[in-house]
Amino acid sequence: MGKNDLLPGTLDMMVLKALTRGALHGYAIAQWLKQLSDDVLQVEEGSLYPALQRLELNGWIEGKWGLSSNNRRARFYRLTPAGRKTLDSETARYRQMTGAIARVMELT
Amino acid sequence: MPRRWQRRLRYLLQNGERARLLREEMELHLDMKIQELMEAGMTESDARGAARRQFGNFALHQEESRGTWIARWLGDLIQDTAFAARTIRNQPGFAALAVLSAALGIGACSMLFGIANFALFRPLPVDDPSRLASISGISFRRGDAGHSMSYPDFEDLRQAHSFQSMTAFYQFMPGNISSGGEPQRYWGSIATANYFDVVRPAFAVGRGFDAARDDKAGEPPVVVLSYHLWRSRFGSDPEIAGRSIELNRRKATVIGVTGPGFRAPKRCSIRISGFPFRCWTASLKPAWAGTGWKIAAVRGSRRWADSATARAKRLRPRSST
Repeated sequence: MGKNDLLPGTLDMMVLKALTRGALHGYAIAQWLKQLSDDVLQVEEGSLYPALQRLELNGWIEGKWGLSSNNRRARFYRLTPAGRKTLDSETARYRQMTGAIARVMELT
Repeated sequence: MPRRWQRRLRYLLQNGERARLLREEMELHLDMKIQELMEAGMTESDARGAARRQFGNFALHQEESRGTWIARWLGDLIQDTAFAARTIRNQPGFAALAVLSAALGIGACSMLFGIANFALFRPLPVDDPSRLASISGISFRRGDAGHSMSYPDFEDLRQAHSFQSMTAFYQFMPGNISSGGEPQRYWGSIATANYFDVVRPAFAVGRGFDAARDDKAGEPPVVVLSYHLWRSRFGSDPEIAGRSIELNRRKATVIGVTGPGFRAPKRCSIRISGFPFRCWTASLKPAWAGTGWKIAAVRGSRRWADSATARAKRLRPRSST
């Protein structure tokens, strides 16, 4: 765990966000996170899998086995309606939180 | 939410399978990572090392993923328990009713088990119980066993078959005991003189019947008391042997007390179970000899005892009701 660690809870949210683009496998999700954040968010890629398990157990995403682009068996995750709802509420909460933090930090 | 429960159940049932699939998923990730790094110009071994570093501890992540399911399950269990407790508090009447019906159900079951255990499974507290068997008559009309037979039938049986030993007793003879307190009626049984030689229970006091010494003409009949009767009626009197008591308004001499827990062998199909008789009287008087002798107890080899009932069925042309 280093200083580039994510805020707690944000990994789940970002995974859900990634899946709004369609079904992705774990590696693609990690790639997407890394590229979009310009390598600032160094997700220890392995911790993605516990998160995926957690999300699937909650019924927010759904995994199905399929073939990856290089013809290997991979598990593709898809957002469920419940997951979409969670993403919306999480996003709203996140906006509220970052807005509040920003207001506090700009005070001087 | 049934779907949530279905999912959870599937997770639990397919634990091993899931762990394997998760591993496959993670390995695929690593391989793709290595490929990516190699395309960027790394050698394979460097790429492998870098990918591993970035991925983190493989086994740890796998454990964390598994932990997710288990933690989830535990959390839900706690939540459900709390919910149940709240519901019970809100509806104490309904909860009491539920508890009561469950308690009654459990009570009935354990009582039935108690009876079955007592009647079917517990061996008699006698010497070598596995070699003891009982014979009873079979009803021609109804085809069921456990009927009484006449004393002559018993005599015929004894002569026709060379059992090691054989005794007979008459069940359910009421006995009014009027010494040692208020007169009271007890269930007893009357038995042939060799009864205790065949059944061989333990004795708390004194001895069983002895054909050579007991039941002589002009002497009062002899009685063996049950342990329970001895304690409740005669205050566990250690000097009871030889004492004269009044039984059915006649004098009878106590010669012994059976050990605790002994019950007279009763009819049975495979094993012998007991009925809690309180007293036994010996004397085989002609007046008793004609009528319905309930059961004959016999001692033979173990194998014989096991098949006794089957055998009794075959040899009993006259011993029907």
